[in-house]
Amino acid sequence: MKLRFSIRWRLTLWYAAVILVTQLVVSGLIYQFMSNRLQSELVAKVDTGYAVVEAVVKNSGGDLYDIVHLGQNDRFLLTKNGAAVYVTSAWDETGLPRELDRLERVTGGQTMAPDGRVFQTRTGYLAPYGYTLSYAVDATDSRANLRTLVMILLAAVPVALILGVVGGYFLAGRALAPLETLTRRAREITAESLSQRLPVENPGDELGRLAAVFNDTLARLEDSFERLRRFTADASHELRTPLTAIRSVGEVALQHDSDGETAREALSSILVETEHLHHLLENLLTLARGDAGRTQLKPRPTDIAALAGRVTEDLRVLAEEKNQTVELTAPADVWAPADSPTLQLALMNVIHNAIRYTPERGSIRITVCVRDGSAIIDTVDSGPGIQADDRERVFERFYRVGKARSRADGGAGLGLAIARWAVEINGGTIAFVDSDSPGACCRIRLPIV
Amino acid sequence: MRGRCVLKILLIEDEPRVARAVQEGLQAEGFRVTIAATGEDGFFRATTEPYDLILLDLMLPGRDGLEILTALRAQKSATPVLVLTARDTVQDRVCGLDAGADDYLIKPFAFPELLARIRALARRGRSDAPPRFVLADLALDVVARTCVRNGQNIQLTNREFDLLEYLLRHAGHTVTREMLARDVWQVTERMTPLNNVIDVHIARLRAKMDTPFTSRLLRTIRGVGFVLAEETS
Repeated sequence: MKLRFSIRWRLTLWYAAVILVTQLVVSGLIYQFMSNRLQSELVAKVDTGYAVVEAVVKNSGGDLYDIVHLGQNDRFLLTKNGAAVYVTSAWDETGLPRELDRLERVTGGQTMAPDGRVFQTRTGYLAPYGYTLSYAVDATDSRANLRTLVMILLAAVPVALILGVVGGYFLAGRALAPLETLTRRAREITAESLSQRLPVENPGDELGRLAAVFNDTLARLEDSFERLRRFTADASHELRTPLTAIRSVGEVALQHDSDGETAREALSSILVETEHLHHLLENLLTLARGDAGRTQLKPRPTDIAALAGRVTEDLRVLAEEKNQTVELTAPADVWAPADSPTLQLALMNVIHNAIRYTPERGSIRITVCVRDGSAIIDTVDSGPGIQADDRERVFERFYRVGKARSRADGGAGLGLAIARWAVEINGGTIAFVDSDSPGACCRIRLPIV
Repeated sequence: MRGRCVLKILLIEDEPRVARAVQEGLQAEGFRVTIAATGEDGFFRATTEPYDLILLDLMLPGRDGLEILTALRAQKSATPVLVLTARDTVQDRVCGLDAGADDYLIKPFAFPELLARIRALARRGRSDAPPRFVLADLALDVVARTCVRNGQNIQLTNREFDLLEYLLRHAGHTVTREMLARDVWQVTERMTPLNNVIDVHIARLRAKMDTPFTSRLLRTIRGVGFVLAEETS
């Protein structure tokens, strides 16, 4: 199983790794620099010594008598035809051989003595005189210095590592602390306290953006909770009203010694209320099935204009009862793939709604047309219209403008919710839009292809 | 039909309250109803006794209603079967009709609707509705599309005429708004607007062919529906 570290520990490890790599790279560079520096110092020393001996030999014209003045402290060897002709005691003291071909080469002009000491050497042929000059400088010190440097650099590795881990852990903790606070605050928010919001300290930084996104989600959650709460309250109200009526009518009828006519009247009332309940339940079931996505449709080419005409004619009598005029403007035919019964349901609810909310002697205009690849059905009434903030909410279940909770004028407030479901399941959209009329304009838009 | 021969109905329904209510209602209408509370019992009775009609609930304990229907049809039983179901999804309807049901009714149903369906199934095979209906002093000619009452010609709109024809076809029996919505308006979805529409049409029809005359033919039964019948006092 893969080990799971917390973000804090992962950050700490990353910090430590970065510090370690940085330190190794820097150490390597320091070592390279120092080793080059020491090497060139040695080379310079050898070159100087070699040049002095060469000059002395040249100045004395190949004669070796002047050379003794150089003393015995410099390490050099002069050979002629393979045999040593002059050697200082310092050279012999190093243990380096007098035969040049026996000089053990190390690297970069370095030679190792039998006792393990290393010397920087330069060997050259002094052409006119036939001498071969070999000059050596002790490199042991510089090599020891280099080794000490390596030791120091290596010793710094665990120190840096420990500092990296500790510092990283501390820094990660500091960086994550606001996140910890957010987590705690978010955990305190429950279904009951959805109105709470997370504090946004700096809306520009990463945590601020996270908190803003979270707050946005909370707002939407609060909204849907609120809608659910309202729906439950409205639904129980709508269900209780007929139930209460049924119950009290039945009880009253039983209490009094009612004659046949009164009993019949009571039974009729009960049946009327039962019918209301039945309708309500059917509508709620339709919507619930729609929510669950379990409604299957059989979209067929449907003449939208003819359908609108049929619905208008069916409902015209209701408008006539209120002395309203209903006017339908539609082209000969508008074909769109749709499920005719559900679309009819939508149109009926929309037009009925218009008739219901338009006062007596008002007018309702229904227009069917084709625009931008869509069939558009506009229902414009001469009623009071719908406030802009209510235009979306009227499609909510049980929502009524002005909260007029009366069944006297018809439905339970599910008509437009059902209309929206029915239009959307047919792939269309429905909304109240602005129009030149002061009344409401409900626009249904259905894709033609 | 009533009195001449008593229709024997087998009701296969496990819910005792529903079974009793349906039985009492049908007996009041003059049918003879036997209840079978389980699928096994129902199947046994259906295969051993001659019934004119079977009312079959689809959701039964033990043997499911669809199973019984399939088994009955496999035995070449031709008894008409009216399926009663609470499951109103499209698949269930199709399933029931595929298995050999003659008609279906979704619970909760209106009792007048059940009566209408039973009458329709019992009437099957006989000549269809006459082209001319007469009830008391009202006469409706379906072919000429004329309506005459007490010698007076009555002008009806197409919708009013269809409505009156449907009521006459079910004369003496209650007709619910649901039946009118489905059979006259051809609207299968249940919705409130149409109930109001039906009420307005009934009121207009009544104003034309009933109110001006001495006797009342078209009555509203509040909470149930409408009935067209001669007044009996």
